[in-house]
Amino acid sequence: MKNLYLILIIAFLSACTTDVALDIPEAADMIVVEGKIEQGGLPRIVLTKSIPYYAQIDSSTLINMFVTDADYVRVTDDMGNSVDCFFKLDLQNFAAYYEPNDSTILGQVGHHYGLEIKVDTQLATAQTYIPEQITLDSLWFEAEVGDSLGFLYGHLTDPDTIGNNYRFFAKRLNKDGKFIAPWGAPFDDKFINGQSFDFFYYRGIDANSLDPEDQDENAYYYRKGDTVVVKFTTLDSEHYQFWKTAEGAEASSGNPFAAPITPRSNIEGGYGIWGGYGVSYDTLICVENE
Amino acid sequence: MSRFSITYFLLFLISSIGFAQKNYTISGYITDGMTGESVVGAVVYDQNNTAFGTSSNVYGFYSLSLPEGEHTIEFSFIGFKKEVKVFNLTENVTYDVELKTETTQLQEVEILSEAPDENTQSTKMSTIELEMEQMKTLPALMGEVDVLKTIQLLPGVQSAGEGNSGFYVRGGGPDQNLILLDEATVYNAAHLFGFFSVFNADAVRDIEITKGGMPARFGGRLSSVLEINMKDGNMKEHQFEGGIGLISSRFTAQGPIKVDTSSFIISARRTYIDVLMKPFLKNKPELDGTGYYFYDLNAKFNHKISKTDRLYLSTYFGRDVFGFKDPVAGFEIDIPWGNATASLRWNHLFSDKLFMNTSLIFSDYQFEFAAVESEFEFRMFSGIRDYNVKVDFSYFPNNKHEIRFGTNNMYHIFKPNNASAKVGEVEFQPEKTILQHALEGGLYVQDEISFSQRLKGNVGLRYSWFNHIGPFQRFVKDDFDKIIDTLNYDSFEGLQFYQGLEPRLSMRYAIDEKKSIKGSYSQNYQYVHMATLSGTSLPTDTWVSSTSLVRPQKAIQYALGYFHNFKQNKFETSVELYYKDMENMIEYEEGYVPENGVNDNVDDYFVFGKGWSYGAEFFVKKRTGKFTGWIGYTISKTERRFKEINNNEIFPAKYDRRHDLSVVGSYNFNKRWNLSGTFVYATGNTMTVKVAQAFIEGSFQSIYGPRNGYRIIPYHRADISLTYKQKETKKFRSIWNFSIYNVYNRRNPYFIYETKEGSLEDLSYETSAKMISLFPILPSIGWSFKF
Repeated sequence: MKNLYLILIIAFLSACTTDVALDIPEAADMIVVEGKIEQGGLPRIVLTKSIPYYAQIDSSTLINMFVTDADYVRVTDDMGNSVDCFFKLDLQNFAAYYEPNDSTILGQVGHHYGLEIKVDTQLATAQTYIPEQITLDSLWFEAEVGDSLGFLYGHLTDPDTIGNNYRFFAKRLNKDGKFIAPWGAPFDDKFINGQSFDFFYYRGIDANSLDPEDQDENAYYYRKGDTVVVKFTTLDSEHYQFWKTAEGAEASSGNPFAAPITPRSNIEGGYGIWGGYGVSYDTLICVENE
Repeated sequence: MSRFSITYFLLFLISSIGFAQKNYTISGYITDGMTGESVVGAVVYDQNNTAFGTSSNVYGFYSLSLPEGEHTIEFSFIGFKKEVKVFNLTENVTYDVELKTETTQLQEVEILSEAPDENTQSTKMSTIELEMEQMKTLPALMGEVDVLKTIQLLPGVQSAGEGNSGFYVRGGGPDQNLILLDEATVYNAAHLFGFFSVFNADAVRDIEITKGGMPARFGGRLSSVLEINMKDGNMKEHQFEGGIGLISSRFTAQGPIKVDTSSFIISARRTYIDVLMKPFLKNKPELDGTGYYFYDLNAKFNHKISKTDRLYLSTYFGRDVFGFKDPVAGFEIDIPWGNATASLRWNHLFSDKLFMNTSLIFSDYQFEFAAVESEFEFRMFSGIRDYNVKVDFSYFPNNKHEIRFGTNNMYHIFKPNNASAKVGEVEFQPEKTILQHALEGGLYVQDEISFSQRLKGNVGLRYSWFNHIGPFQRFVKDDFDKIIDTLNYDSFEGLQFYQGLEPRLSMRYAIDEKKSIKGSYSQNYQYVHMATLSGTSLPTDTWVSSTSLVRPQKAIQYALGYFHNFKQNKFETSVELYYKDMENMIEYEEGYVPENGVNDNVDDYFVFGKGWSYGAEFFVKKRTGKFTGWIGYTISKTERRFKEINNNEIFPAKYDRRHDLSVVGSYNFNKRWNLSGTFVYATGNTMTVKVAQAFIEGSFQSIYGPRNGYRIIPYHRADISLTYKQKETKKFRSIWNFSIYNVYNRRNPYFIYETKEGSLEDLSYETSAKMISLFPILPSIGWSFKF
């Protein structure tokens, strides 16, 4: 809504505005963590350094941003286990991350997980929790444009207790390289507590995709014939807040009337997220529902 | 203050009254002989002994007690012929005065309305009254005369930004100003995102702003009181006035219902941007029904029931209406918002020494956002509503005391952000619309005491209380913010009670007739709060109650000043130093987005901290002559410290401004032509800017630097205006006003935005910051008339 004011004001007074360039100072770099532990999975941590905001960014800035030589990346659980993660480079998927070499720690519902990272003199720590998974009652495809382009629909019954947080991901087999969270993917049950209802998502697009199907005007639709795997996850509150505020920050980015929002990180001594997911999967072939 | 000292204080008041000698009283009402309007602040004093003096109150009433014998009493007010009357006092006298306009000196209108030596002789400090007629000759943005923008030209009062009617007083937040329109609180005094204020200048009689040393009769806010009084309505004859401006037109009708007994005034104003835009939208069916406008309606009625009783009924109603309709796409947005106030007041004279006013007051502010897109409906609404009962007494026991005491009780209903949504037939009702209810009250006594010819003081004490009451729902959350229980409170069940004593003191020591030193101390509590996301006045700002989590804000302010008049009071000067300390200030927690507080206990998302401000204000004013005007300069520093913001490190307030300068000048060439100009300079506002970016899930997130860690370039601007009064006939008066805003076309900062060149996919990009400046040189023309 704050964006609306911006539009209004600009519309009302657009004739009057002029630009002047400003010089804004930079900040020192810090550890950036994108870490997760899914139910039944290994912990995986993408480790980078922050880069200046108002600056020229090129390929060497982007490559050097990845931390490949952390002193240690350590994951612990509430059962007394501890495991070190090591740098892995997955050239096939253009991915660089830290992962343990063994399965001492696999994500389990109802448990807490700690993360500790040391890079040179910087130390970053975090805690997360994997809540009980909640499965969708049903999932279907509905055409919106003609009979071949449409959205994914789901039916969810939210448990009676308030305080459940969700994040929705989907991946088209043979098309998407990974699970993608569309806009609005994180939601909580403030409005829907204890209700049973339908919802829908359009297709999420990988931010850096070069695929022509991701560029055209129908990019946000699923197509009849797509095979889609939906990953429906549950999150603890801090984890949810990070993704929710990240969406809020993106929505208000550049709006001078909005409060400055830095997404609410749960990393002590750094920035980013260390999050546990309760996970359920569903596979759907997009055909018109009878 | 301990119980002992209060008792002592009251005893002191009573005893000093008891010992006074036997006196007789002259009392009555002072009115404008032309219109019958009450004259506020008219000076009444004994020519042979200037220590015996008083001034008329907001209803025009005065009461002066003098020793038995002969006295030559002078009644005077700026712009009126003074009236002198000899009284031989052997009994109490009632004497009503109708002051006549001083036609011979008409062009020598004064910039500020007050008695010649009020500046040095009154105990008031940090207080300024403004006169409407003069305000109308000053340059105004798009020709819209705006009282809130004129007060920003005074030292210690800062503008919230380019073209903004929001203001900050001595380092206090925008919610710390009590804005009263005929005693009713106006919660959001801005139209159109702050560019215009809700006060229609044609309906306003006078204005007074108190920045410090607040008398005990005021309470509920930390930083200032802005009192705006509407005209009562002409008691003598019918009168119509109006004006046509670039963006709005206005019309006022007033007159007697029964001459010298009852009168009315009705005033209306409406913008017509939407009407002017219509032709341009004709060929765009997809925008049919889109528009923006605002309007204000003021109405007042007053009736003299008898010599001792008078009734006033005043109301205000204003709305901003924004609508966006795209019938083609089935998309529709409606955003109405605005204020409504009403006050019913009854003046009663118990005797010539005891004046009472009883008020029943209603104020209301509502905001709504409704969006409809085919199957979907979304509504968001917020607001506040008050019912207030207030009784105030003025007691004039003798010429050494002027005592005021009174009480008020207010019932608040707060509606912080609430939302509901509908998809087809399924309604997503929130758990329940969350309202807050509260009772707020105050009890005060203040005494203006003349200790000696040189030493005068205003001593006061206010006791205030606040009770957050049911119905209310409190969500109990665990460490992970998960709601584990809901506590329900019944109607009028007490949830949280606060109370506080607010001692107030201001003293004046007159070095001689032209020089004085003044000092003041005040302690204030504020029980209602407004946390803003943006730091400017937006209609979405919501007011919230004190609760078990939100404690009342508290401020202590010290001020010290030196006042000096030169050349038979032609020039007034003053220097004031102040220090203000504030506790329990309120902000949203970092990372808050409006959805968080929707249908939740919004107070869960607040953080609390301290603030302080100190500075010096310099003021030089030329009051009379062909050239009048003033220079106000403030040097100040305002800081905040919040445990949860900026890592508990001290940060500058958004409106921390080292230098703030205003120069106002007005020159009357003759009875017809007036040239006025203003110049303002202010240190740039602070801002929180992005300093880094972090790579998460394949895209970059922005990280902000220290709170308000960046200071944008200074603001300065000059405006001029030329006013031409056409030859006046008995029946008709016509005035043209030409003004130029931002004469030298300064590019002042309005906001920062960013532009990006290149893209992440191309593996090369650069983001740079740019500044938008809003108003270039803007000429405007306006015409007003009166008949």
